[in-house]
Amino acid sequence: MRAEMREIVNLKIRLGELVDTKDFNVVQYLGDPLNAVKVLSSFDYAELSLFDISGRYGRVNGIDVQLINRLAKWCPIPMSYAGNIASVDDAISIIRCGIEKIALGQTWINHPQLISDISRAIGSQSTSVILNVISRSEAQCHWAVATLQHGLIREHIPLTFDLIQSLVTLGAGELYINHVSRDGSREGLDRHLCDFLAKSSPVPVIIQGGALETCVSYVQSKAEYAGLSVALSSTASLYGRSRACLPHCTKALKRAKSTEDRMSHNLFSN
Amino acid sequence: MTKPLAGILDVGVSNMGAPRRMLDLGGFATRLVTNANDFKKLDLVVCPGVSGLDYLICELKRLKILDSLFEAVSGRGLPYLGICAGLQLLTLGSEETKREGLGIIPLKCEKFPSNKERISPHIGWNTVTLNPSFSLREVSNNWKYKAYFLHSYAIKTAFESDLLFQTTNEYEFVSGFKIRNFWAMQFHIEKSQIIGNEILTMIRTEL
Repeated sequence: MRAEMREIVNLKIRLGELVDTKDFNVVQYLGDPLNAVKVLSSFDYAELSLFDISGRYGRVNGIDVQLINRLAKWCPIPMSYAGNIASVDDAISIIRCGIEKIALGQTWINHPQLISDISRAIGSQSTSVILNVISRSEAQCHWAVATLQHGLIREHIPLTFDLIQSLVTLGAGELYINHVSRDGSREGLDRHLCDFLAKSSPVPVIIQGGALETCVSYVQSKAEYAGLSVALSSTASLYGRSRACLPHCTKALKRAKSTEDRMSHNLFSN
Repeated sequence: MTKPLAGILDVGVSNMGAPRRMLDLGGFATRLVTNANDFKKLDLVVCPGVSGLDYLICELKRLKILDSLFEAVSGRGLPYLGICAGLQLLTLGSEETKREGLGIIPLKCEKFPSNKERISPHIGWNTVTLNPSFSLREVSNNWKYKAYFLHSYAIKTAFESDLLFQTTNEYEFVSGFKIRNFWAMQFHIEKSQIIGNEILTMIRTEL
C-alpha cells in the first residue's frame, strides 16, 4: 500500500487577498484567505497549498510571514506555500510558521542551485519545485516551461524527461505542475501530460490546471498514476463537496448562469 | 491544576508553529529550548520535524544542545517526543548522513528507493497499524488510523519496544514507537488529527 492520492486545494493570494485566475491573470477577488482556510480545511482535503502571486504583478517586499502565520494557525491540515522565495532563509522562515512544504517558483530557472541549498536545509521531502507549463501541442505531447511576469508568459525550456531528472537530482522532492494553458478553464486535466508525468517522474507530482472533482476520481482509479495528485482551485473545490456545507455559495452558484457570473460572487467573504 | 511543561527544540530550521499549537491544544504549557539550561524544569522535550537529519544534528551541535539533550533524555529519563526527523535523531543516522544520531535505537535509517516504478519521498496520508507482537500496553486491536507522512528515510526493521506502529510504502517500515521514555513518530502527529490527539493523550497520561 502506498500513500493515498492527494486531493489538494490551491489558494492564490495577491497582496493579502484571495483571488482566482484564468490563464494566470487575476480575474476575480474571492474574499478573505483566512475564511477560505477555515472553511476548506474542514472538508477532508489532503493538503492545502497557498500561492502568493503578488510577485507576478510587480515588486514585493519579501514574504508576508505575518499572513502565513495567521493562516497556518487556523489550518489543521498539511499546508504548502509558494511565492517570493529567494533564499534558504526565506524557506526556513516559512517552515517555522507551521508550514510543511515550500514550493519554489520560477526563481529556480535562473538559480537552480537554490533547490539544492533549500533541500539540504529542510530536506527534499519538503522542497517542491513549481513548473509553469504551457502546451505547444497537446496532441503531439509537446510542453514547455514558462515564466510569468506582469501578465506576460515567456516560454523557456521544453518539458522533458531529462529536465525532470535534473530537478530531482538537484533535490526536488516533489513537482508542482501548473498547467497554464488550462488554468481556470475547468476543461479537465490534460491526459497526455498526466501520462508523461506518471512515466517520467520518480518523485510525487501535483498537477493543477483545469482540474475538476471528477478528475480526482479518474486519477485515483488509474494504477499507473500512483504518484500523481490533483490540485483544485478554490472555486473548483466549491463545485464539489464544499458545496453542501456552504449554502450561500450554492445559492450564488445556482443563480449564476455563466462561469464569469459564478466568479463574480465573493465566495469567501464574511 | 498546573499544565505539564513541554520544551520544543528550536534549532532554527524546524516547523515550530504546528507542534506548538498541537501542544497548546493538548493541555501543555510550551517553551522553546535554545540552550542547555532550558532543559531544566521540563516535563517533556519535543523534537519537531521538517528538516534534513544531517542539518538538524549539525545545528544541535553548533548550539551545544546535543550533549545536554542526550544527558537529559538518556541520563535523567526526561520524556522525549520525536516527530519525523525527531524520530530519526534517535537512530545511528543513515547511510547518507555524515553525522550520527543519539543512537538510542541501534539501527540506521534507509532511504526509500526512487525510480520510475517507486515514488519517493513518501508524501501524503497512509495507514498506521499497531504491531501486536510489540505491544505491552492495552491498546485496541483495531488500532488503525490515517496519518500524514512527509519523509524520504525510514527504519525498515521492526525492533523490541513497548509499542510499535508500522506502515507500508513499497515495504513495511516503523512509523512510530515507544521505548522507555522515548516516544517517536515518523508521521506528523501535529497534522494527523485523531491519531495525533490519541498519542498526545497517551503521553500526557504517562507524565
